[in-house]
Amino acid sequence: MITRIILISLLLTSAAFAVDDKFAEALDKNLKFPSAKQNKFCDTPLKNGNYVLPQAKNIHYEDSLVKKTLAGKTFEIPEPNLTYDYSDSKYVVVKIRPTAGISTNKNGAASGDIVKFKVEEDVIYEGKLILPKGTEINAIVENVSPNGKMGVPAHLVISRFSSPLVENKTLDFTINRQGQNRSLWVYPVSYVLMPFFGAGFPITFIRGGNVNIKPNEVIQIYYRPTRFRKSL
Amino acid sequence: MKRLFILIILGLILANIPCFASSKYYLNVYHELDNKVKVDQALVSNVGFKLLNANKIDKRMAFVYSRKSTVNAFSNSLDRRIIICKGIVDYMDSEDELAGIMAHEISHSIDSYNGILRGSLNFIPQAFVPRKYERKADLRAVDFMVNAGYNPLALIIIMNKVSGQYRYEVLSTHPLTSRRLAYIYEYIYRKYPAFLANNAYIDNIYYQNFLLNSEHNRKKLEQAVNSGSKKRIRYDY
Repeated sequence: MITRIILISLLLTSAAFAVDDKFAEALDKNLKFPSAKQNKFCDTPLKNGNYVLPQAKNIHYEDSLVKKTLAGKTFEIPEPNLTYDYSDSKYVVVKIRPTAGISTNKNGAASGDIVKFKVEEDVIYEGKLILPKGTEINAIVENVSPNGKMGVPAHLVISRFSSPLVENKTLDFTINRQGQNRSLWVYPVSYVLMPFFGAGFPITFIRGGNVNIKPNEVIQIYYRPTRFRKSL
Repeated sequence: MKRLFILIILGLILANIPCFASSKYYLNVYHELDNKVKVDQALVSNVGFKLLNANKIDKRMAFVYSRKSTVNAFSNSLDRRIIICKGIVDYMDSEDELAGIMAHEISHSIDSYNGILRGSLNFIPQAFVPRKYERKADLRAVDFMVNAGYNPLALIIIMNKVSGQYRYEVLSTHPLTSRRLAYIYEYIYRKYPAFLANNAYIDNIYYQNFLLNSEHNRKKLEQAVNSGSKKRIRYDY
């Protein structure tokens, strides 16, 4: 019985491929597809009538959210970083410290937030004081990816450091951190324990580590005055 | 025993049929593409390195244009090469759209550098909880595009054009496309509203379709915006 079913299905599959081959050949030779059979119904009662085809409407959907909340406001498109010059490697280290703790936990940083840092030591470039100690530096939280079950860690990206005392884009660094990756042990342990009456199941709820930048942590960023030319 | 033998033979025959079917057609397609390949490889490399340089990404990666007709692009976490298949390039109408797909893959490649042993074990969470990484890559792609001077709305357009819509995301490696589109839209709305306020793609047929199919999700975002909530919105199917 099984053999018969398989044989029939094999025959059907072969037929399908045969059709596919013909289709491919037709495409190759730019052949037209066989026209549809004449519809007798269309030939008789509808043949002599005057019918107007429905006109295609020029549909245009508007973004109501943008219209309601953004209309009338002015926003600047961020300037792209296309005026870089990586051949110039001059830089000075700038030591900074966050004014408050930054974390990826529930009530922590969100994407687009501005976080504040303070300069730890005077920054001197070519004999000139560029950033005195205690200068406030702003940065933007670019991306926060929360931690997940199965020990998946959180991610945090902070960049676009800026200060009114230096030109735009001269403070160059991207903080790209990942929390503790507990999935390295959560997976094996949960799989090993699963056969024992599903004992591994609760372990899968263990979440990965958050990223925490403490207020006393010193971070090194760079002052690169010549890497980004002014846009013309 | 005899039945088993017949079954094995039949299985082998079935497995081999697809190798012969339509092979001629596919070969012809490859042949026609030969002249086009160089241009596309140059474009793929150009866009890829522009994204890396503009975003100050100091991790090494390479970009490869594959002639496969698969509608896909992926990053190889072993050698950090980003492969863009011809199948997906065929769907693209602008460099912005190509940049969107490549920026997404670049984000995956950066993730492969994170973690212990030079990121060797980073494939574990990525393999088992991939949707979180996909969502992150989508949002990072928006940042990368903006920094390189591309319009991030093109990511919505190419995704709306190419990605299918599954029923449930439980067993899927990617979040539902409708949700991905909504998250990207929300990210652009909150972080780069200038692109929506001066929308260059508002008349684009694919963007118009996105506006049509995302109405409920945009309503949810509107409610969150009006209430000042920054909680993660659970978008609809």
